[in-house]
Amino acid sequence: MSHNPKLSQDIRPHRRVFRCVLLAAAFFLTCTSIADAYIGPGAGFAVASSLFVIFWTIILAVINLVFWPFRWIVRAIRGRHAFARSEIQRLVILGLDGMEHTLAEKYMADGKMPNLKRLAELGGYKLLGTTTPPLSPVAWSSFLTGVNPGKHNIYDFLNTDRRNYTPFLSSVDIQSPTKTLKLGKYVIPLNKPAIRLLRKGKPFWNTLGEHGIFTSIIRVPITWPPEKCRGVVLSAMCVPDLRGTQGLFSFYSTRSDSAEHTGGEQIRVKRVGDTIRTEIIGPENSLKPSAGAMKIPITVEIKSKDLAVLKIDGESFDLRPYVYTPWVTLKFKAGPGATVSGICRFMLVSIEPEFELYAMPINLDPEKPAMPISHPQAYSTYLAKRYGPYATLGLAEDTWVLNEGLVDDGAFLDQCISIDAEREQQFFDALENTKRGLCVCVFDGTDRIQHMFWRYLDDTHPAHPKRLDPNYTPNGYETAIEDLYLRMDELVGETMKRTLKDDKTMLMVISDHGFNAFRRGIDLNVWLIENGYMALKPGAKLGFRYLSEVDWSKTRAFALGLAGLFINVKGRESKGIVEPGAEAQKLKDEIIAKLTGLKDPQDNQPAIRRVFDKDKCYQGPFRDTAPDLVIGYHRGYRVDWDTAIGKVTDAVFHDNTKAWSGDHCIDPELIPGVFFCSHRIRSESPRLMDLGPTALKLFGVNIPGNMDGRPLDIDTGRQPPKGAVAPAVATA
Amino acid sequence: METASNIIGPAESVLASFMGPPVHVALDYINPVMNAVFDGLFMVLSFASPAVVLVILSALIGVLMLLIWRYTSNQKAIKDVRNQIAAHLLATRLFKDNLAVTFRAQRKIVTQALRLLVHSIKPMIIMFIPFVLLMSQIGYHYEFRPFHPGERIHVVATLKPGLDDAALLGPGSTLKLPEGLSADRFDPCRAIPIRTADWRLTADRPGAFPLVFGQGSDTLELVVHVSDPAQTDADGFVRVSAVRGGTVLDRVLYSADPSIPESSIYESIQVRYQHRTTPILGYKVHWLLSLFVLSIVFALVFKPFMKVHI
Repeated sequence: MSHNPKLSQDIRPHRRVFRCVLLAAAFFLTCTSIADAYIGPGAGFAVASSLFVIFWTIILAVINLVFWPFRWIVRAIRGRHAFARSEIQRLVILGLDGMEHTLAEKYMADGKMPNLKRLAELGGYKLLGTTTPPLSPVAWSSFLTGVNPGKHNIYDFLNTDRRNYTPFLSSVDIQSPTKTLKLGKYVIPLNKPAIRLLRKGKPFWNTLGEHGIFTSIIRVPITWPPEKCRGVVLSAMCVPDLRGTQGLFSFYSTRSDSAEHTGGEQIRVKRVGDTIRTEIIGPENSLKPSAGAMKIPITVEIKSKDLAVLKIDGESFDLRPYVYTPWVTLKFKAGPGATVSGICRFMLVSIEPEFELYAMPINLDPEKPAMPISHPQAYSTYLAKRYGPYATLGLAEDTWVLNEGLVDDGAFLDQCISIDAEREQQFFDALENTKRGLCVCVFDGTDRIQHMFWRYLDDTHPAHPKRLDPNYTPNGYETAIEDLYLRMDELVGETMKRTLKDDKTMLMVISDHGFNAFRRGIDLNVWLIENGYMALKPGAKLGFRYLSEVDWSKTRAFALGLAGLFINVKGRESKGIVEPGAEAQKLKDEIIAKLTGLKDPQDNQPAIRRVFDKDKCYQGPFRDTAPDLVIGYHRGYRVDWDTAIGKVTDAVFHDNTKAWSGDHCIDPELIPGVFFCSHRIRSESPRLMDLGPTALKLFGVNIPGNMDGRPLDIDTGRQPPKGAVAPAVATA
Repeated sequence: METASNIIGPAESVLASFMGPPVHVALDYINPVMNAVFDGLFMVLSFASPAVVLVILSALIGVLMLLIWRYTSNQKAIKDVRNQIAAHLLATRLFKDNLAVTFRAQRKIVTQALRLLVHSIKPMIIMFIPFVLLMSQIGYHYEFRPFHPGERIHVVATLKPGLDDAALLGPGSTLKLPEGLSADRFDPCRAIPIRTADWRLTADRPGAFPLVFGQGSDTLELVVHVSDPAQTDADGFVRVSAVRGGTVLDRVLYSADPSIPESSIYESIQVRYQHRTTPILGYKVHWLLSLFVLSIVFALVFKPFMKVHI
């Protein structure tokens, strides 16, 4: 190494100064009596707080030790000898939303999913019967309650308000505070907003909890608002964003054309020099209604062709094309001392020729959620403190922004992968903290990625890139679904490593339904019009929403939502014309007969396989809220996008050219889920709704009589302990 | 502060041997500036009582501490550690039925608390020197009170080592007494083994009285303050310097007077003042404790506004 004497001479005085400072500090620190006093406020901060934490921890440990025997006694009495009749110590259920059995089997056969294959060999693998319709909210509700939809009241993402024919969220009802105090321009709420869970039935983990068994439930759909249980719950599907929607993205653009987007809004911005000033739009200010939506000003400074800096509330974040920022905390000021906190990630789409910035929907801040998203409420805070901010939105992956073509496939994929990574931390943390009891975690990335990337698997798909772009060359996303399955296999492998160290844990890997192509959409309302079951008002122009131009006096049936058809029944629908009873039944039979086997004129292939009559496929007190007819589409078909939101188009069949190219809203028989278990499955034809009763049986807990699911026969390698329950089962 | 020199053990002498010269030189530059700044500050604040001034100073120090802390510490790491501590504390509550989980969380809390301590070392070291200088400046006004008329004043002059006994018996024990102070016995009490000469004086009336030690060109001055006990508030802003010269630490803690020239026969001169208490809300608390508590309280109050993690 060369030596530069001049350089070392230059450095020498600095080194001397540094050495002097260090020595001076050391000198003062050695004079402890004086130093203690004079170090005081400066370092007192850290020293005092660290020592306080240590002191407090020791106190806590002592309190824990002293009180633990008492708690153990109370728990034993209340828990009625938890685990005494249990065949296992721990049950881990890993949900991979929408894992398709044909793909899983193919990749296992190809040796690409060694962990799932090993799990199948170790215990067993079967197809898992799903629900009618095979939609996630319906299926997971049946999973967690062990009942058919007629008893849990969830038939779709949306339900129909029979008074005004408009859709509403099927699982939850949020009402503003009923008592308020008006102080000038401020309205102070005196009670909390009412968040009511519309899903009925009791989760099986609540029954386990009543018997003293601890449960950790992570992101199982339709668990919001979180219900009390013995353990922890982190809610999932239907948790809204901070603006109260199911996910509304913002897209900032200098483009002059104003575009309307489903699932998001485009905000026009102006570039002045290298600076762009705009606002993040937050929720409505409920404290000061006249103020409208709360906003946070933001500035973007463009530094180069591929670098900009985003400034929010005194903090700066680098923006590079197609790279997400970390979660940014947004504090909206509602009034003096009142803030509402959310988190958001940003991604720069382009700087030139047009500036475009994508902001994910503003998620509730898990550290300080504006609404409870976990039970206990501190659990979401615990996870945020332990692992950092994480997505809290029910449908966390923003499928709409890709569907609208505002970002590319890679941006969406990155988002899904990072959300799965957050989930993985939460899941492994739950495993770590649940050494005995039940741990359930659902990963949604499998569902979202298949929805958006199925077009790459199917070169006949109208949305296959080569059909949309003649110059298409493979871009690497052709294997997005395969990569997803491989990633999930790694997750299973890691889970097996963490859970199957001994024979005390049973691991189940399940999916709520499978997946298939969504090539063509069927506008059921057009079909109803063509067949004389529906009429539009004279002069109605197409393009309306929520069936607003329908002439109800001449309409006997209508379609809304993803699941099915409704009969316009007199006395039930506000403008009903079909007599309930025999007339309605006759009409249903007539429509079933006509729709079953409906052929697609494009290739003369059947598009609808079966139509289910709600009176025949559901039992239970909430059957009346179900669609009267549930459509079992054939592979490749689904209800059309426009029908779902009550629009009427000009044709029955439409090509689906959107990125949302895969779906599972078809005949449930065609789309079962998967069921892997670390122990041998003796039962034939297991169903999703059987898993709750099975869990109860494994823990030796009586199965409530209203459950429709049957406990599966799984070989635990142990004889059920004496006194184990012979469950009373009401079969569906 | 008066016991500073007694408390410091061998460590000081070892370190002082090679630390002394550069520190002395640095203090010769720093002390006059600090004195001027604080004289000005106390003049501005002289409208208020000493207790109120202490509160104001605590607030200023709280803010200053936060600023220094913010820019000298690893804020991200501290935030992470704090989050981990909070998470594990929550874990003890959430998983309280599981003793293993609870103890694991507690073990992690202790580990994180130690990490927090490690992250504090750098800002602590950086903050230490300016704060010692700052404290010494405040100490002039709050540590000691001026003498009252009629009180006994104990003055000690210490000669440099290596001088013969004659220096202590001759010029070293010469004190020129100003009008306003009187002595029972003009000759000091000499302790030859420890090279000191002690005088017992009496304050006759309020005022600032320069004591002149030595003879000829080798003289040193130290001002003795005497005030009217009825005007206690006014006492608050009298800068009382109890030591001139001495060790490196004395120079840092008592920086009001210039350093003793190399050629002087004196090592240090001390006047043993009475300690002062500054009552806050009726409680008589040592000023350092008040400042310590108040500045931390202010820092905690300002922390969220200044976005500092401590």
